[in-house]
Amino acid sequence: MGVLDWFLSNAEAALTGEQGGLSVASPEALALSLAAYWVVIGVAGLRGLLLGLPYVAALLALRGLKGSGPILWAVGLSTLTVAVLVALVNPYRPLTGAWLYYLGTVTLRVFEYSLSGLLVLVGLGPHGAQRITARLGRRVHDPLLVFYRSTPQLLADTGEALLAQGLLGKGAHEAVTGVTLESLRRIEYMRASFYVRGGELPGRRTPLPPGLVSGGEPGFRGAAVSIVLVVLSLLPLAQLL
Amino acid sequence: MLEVDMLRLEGPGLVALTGPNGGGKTTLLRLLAGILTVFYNARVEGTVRVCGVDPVGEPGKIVGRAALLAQDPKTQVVTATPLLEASLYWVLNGSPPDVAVGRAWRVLDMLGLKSYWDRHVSTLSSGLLERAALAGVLSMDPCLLLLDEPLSFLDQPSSRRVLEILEEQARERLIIAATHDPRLTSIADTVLVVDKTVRTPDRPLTQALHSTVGMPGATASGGGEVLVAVEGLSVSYPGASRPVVAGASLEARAGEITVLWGPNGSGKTSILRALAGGGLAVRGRVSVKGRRVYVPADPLLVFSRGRPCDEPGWESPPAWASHLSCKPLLSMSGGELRLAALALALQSGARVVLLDEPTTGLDPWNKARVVSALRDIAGRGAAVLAASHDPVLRSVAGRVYCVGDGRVWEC
Repeated sequence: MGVLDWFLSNAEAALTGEQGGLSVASPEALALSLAAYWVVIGVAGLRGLLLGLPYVAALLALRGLKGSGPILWAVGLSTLTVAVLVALVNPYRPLTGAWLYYLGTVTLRVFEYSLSGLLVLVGLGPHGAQRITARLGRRVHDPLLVFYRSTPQLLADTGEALLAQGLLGKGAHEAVTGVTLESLRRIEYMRASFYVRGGELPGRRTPLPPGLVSGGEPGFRGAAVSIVLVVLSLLPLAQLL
Repeated sequence: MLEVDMLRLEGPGLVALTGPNGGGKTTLLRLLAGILTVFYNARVEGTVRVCGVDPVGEPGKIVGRAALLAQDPKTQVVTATPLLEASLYWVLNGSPPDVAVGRAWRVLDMLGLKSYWDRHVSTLSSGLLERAALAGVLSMDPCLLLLDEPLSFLDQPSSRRVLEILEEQARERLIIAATHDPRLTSIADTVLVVDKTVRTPDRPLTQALHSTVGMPGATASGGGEVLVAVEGLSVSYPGASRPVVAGASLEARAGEITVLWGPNGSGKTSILRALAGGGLAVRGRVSVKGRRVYVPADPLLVFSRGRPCDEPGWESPPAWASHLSCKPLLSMSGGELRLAALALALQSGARVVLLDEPTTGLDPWNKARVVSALRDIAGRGAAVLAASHDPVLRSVAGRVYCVGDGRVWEC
């Protein structure tokens, strides 16, 4: 929580002009800049969307802190529901501390199962669906892992950049550019670090680390699992509304 | 960029690569790790063999044989906990969970990280994070261990521990480490200079690496106006059992370099942030006279354009950074980035200059130039306050505050 609070305190100071020199017109401007940043970082298309969505959710939660109570509670309770599910069925007991990593893995699995279920429903057949989702899963998993590892660092970087560039008379949008440069450098290095240990490599099959449901079973069964997970995680939202 | 006629290194043993910033040390390590062509689109000519494999022609085959530790542990660690990090290679290569965890556990024990196995890496100090990064590569049991500035973010106790580990490991395998640190070159079996080519060091270079050649003398103490005054400063983070800094008092004067000195995680950066106007749960009286500037430990965060020369305020860079003016930031080495960030800050004309680890990653010559520049701006009436582990910077400070166990005292 330390880095989140650090980010919030600096963002708050920037938005209220306490530090002087920062030129943010509104919280929405900052939110849009950061959301756009993540879409860019996520490269493009589906991968960008997948990586951007959790961040947009986090932004909604931050906005919730300013008075939109139901949104905050919905995001928090949904996260908690998924985290509890992970803790209950996690087959990799020694690693339960890495709940963020598992949350990312669960997101990926939900995506895989939903997609495979959809592909089966449109007549592709279980085996074709399995091939496609496994391929997509590998392409999505590695950056997702880095994303969840990097999120606290991203918040800390944003706080530091707001502070340092504010003192140089620059605005929050320029600070976001600084964070983008740092993140691009960091992601490049992290991808290399991942690769030299057998991770993502063009044209090379990378086995997925064990996740919520080891091995994965796409198809009708997978789609059913995804529906259950999604319904459970949305229950708190339905209750609030 | 880098030309090597003939280089043959045999293990076990420790080889230290030294040389100026931007000389090609990191490039050589990336070449040997097989990532230079895969990630950086570099053109490589000639023959390279590492542990019996061609890392250029068949980069996939070098995976598992050579392990690379990047300069910044924050970019090296890709997972969320030390246990995940140490088991990653075996998990990715399909080992059963009990095998992967067993191997990771042994390395964590060796590095003194067992009690931190499930801590999220964002909560670890730089010293612990460096050890977690080292665990990730040591657990691979590689034929060749490649290390890029492994001591640059470490305090004195953490550095000693990592040096001991490297000495032990060098009895089992070949280690090649890029470094500017004389503590590492002094225990190396072989020292090589990388400066656009690879050669054995001549005497002046060896002297420069082992001394503070060209360093200016200490600044005068106690003369100028107090520009930074802190009384009873406390900084705490939510969820922590106690404040990282409690009741700290210090001052920084015009004409003086002041250094905050202490172990990783002791609160030096928190004090700088509080003086820069940020931070959370800050109590006490903080007074800063005049314009401030702050350069964080990650130098890229002060930039808002792709090149220094496009940056607002980059008008008359100091001579030691002018060659970097129009070089793209993302193609700079770690040392070059730090030089550029310091040059930008020093052009701002601020009276209070707050710097987090300003000499990390700099070669001895650039370190001398930067220290000299800091002394110059202090001489023109600025107060320089720097958090550092660098004995060289400490030796030229007019005032040193030790930070530890939540306290701050003049030492």
